[in-house]
Amino acid sequence: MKVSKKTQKKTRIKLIETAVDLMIQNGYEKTSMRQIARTAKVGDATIYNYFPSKEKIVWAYILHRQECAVAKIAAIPNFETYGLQEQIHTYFETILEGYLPDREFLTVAFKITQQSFVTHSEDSAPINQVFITQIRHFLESAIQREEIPKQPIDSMLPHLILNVYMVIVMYWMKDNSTHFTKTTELMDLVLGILMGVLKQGLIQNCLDLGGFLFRHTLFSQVNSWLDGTIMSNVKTQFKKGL
Amino acid sequence: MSELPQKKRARLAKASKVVLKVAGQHAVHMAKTPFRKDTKKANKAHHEKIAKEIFNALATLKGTALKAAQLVSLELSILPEEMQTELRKACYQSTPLNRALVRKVIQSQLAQAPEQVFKSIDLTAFAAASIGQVHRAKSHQGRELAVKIQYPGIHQTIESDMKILRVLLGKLPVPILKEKSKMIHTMLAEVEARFLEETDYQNEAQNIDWFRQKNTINGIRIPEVIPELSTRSVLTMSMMEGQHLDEWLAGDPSQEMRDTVAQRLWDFFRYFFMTQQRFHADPNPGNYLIGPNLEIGVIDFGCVKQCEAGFPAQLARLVSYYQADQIDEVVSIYQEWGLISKRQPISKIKPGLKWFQEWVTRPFKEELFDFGAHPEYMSQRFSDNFKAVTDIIDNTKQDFVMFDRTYMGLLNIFQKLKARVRLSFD
Repeated sequence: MKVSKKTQKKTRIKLIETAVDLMIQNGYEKTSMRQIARTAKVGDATIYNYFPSKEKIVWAYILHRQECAVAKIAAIPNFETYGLQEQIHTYFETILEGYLPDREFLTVAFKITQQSFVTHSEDSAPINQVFITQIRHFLESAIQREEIPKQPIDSMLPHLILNVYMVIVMYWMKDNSTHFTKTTELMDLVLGILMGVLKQGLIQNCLDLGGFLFRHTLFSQVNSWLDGTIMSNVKTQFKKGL
Repeated sequence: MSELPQKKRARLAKASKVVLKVAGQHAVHMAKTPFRKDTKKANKAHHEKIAKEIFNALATLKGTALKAAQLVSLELSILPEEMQTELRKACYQSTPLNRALVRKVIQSQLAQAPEQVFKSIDLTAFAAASIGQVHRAKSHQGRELAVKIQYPGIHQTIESDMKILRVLLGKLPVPILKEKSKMIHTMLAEVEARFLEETDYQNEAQNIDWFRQKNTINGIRIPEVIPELSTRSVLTMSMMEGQHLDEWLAGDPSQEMRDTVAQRLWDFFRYFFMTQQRFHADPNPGNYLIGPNLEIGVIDFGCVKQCEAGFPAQLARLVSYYQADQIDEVVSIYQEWGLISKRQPISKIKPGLKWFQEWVTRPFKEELFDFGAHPEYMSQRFSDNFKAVTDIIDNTKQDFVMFDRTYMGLLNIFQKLKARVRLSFD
């Protein structure tokens, strides 16, 4: 029997939601693919047509949340009249709002996916893509309406904002203030600083500085490894090599 | 937005720096004093310098702490008149919440996005409130609404700002601050309690309902709360149309119109104070909207004071004792309230109260007191004569702090309106 794309999408979402519910209830380890399939009323084998493993479901969950947030902000009346900071802030809050019912699961999800959709992998790429496309769209519109001066938005900048977003998510997961007020404050502050930099057209300088600091930290890290006794041979070899 | 912790520490450090700077200047001044010929002139210059530092520090305070600083500095006359006036004008305006933040507050408080909660809402505020901002909205039934949104984290900001103010007032080497530390303590406790109460919009909603129910004063309008759209940080009310008092005054209303508005304000205060022992304690001109037929919409009920049952009657008696020149009775009420210590000899108290007696009873002596004919009346509060009263006052009473703030605030408005008002507590 041929299944329509719409039904496929519905089943996919049903599987994701069921899996997350079960993982919250029983823990990741104790949840099996079969259990997910049965609870979602999908055939034991059919589930594999959608997801080859539990881990892939977790990745799909994160992607699904990102896509929902994009759809949600698109439905906000007059969203195009919002300023850049307001748009990014609303986008971040909307993603977090989507995670809210499964907030405790997020910690598990990050552990399973070895965190990061910051580091590039086959699984994280589509998630990053959704995020970066959205951010790039915000930036392009802001440049078009002359809210910020023209600046390179193709590569580093959206990734920098992705990093900022990840830090905020981490903070939010530990935030126990009422209605996550502290996260909102942090977001407001960080985005305020970012806007200041963008409006001054200083982002390239900041990215250069970021690159410098990164290299510097990496090199000092290498130095500290070389100081360890276990590594003394490596150090000698390394020095010899120099 | 409110401050993040590291910013709080930075501001505390800044306050401490002011203290150190002033203390340093004071030490240098004291060390040089024995060698000076013209001590009086040097003293004056020194006090002006210190006053300027204190002014600069106080004027950087925000919202609630600024209000508290205005109150304390006025009560204790720690600043010269011109700086006092300047500080009263200093009005810290928080940066308005952007649309993303307004969305977040509504979403988290009412569990729905703004466009679902209301038929329409303007996410850009049309007015600022003391700890939040007000938005125009329309209900799904088509009713015009005013939605007050509180700044997130304002509760903690008040506490930290009050801490900064306490550091400033507690450590500055200004003799009067040391002498009146008990009084400052009572004032700050009262002010902080009221301001923290203001952060609970559910409490304000109850206040509005209560005043609406009890109000019998002709020409006073009170908004209606929409309870299902109100929470601790969001307060939705019926929209009140009208002009702000200052705006209305700029339109040059007639003497009769100004008299009517002033009399209504006084009657509203007197009625609730005397009959209910409870009153609207925030006489900021921005809290009154003048509508058609000179009806006054009172719009901010965050700061409402509930007094002890006997306090209003005792206060009315105090005014009559002053009028009848029964100063022993006056002193005994002040002593009972703890304003004047029983240890102070009556021979010192009486001269201190003499000028004040004449000043405080003046508006009550005439059937209609014409503030326009006495343009100097309110500014006499800054006079040296007034300082004589401060000298004999040891402490204050919490009920008295808010009464005084409201009474003086109203009289300031009457002075501004150049109105003729029948003042009485009967």
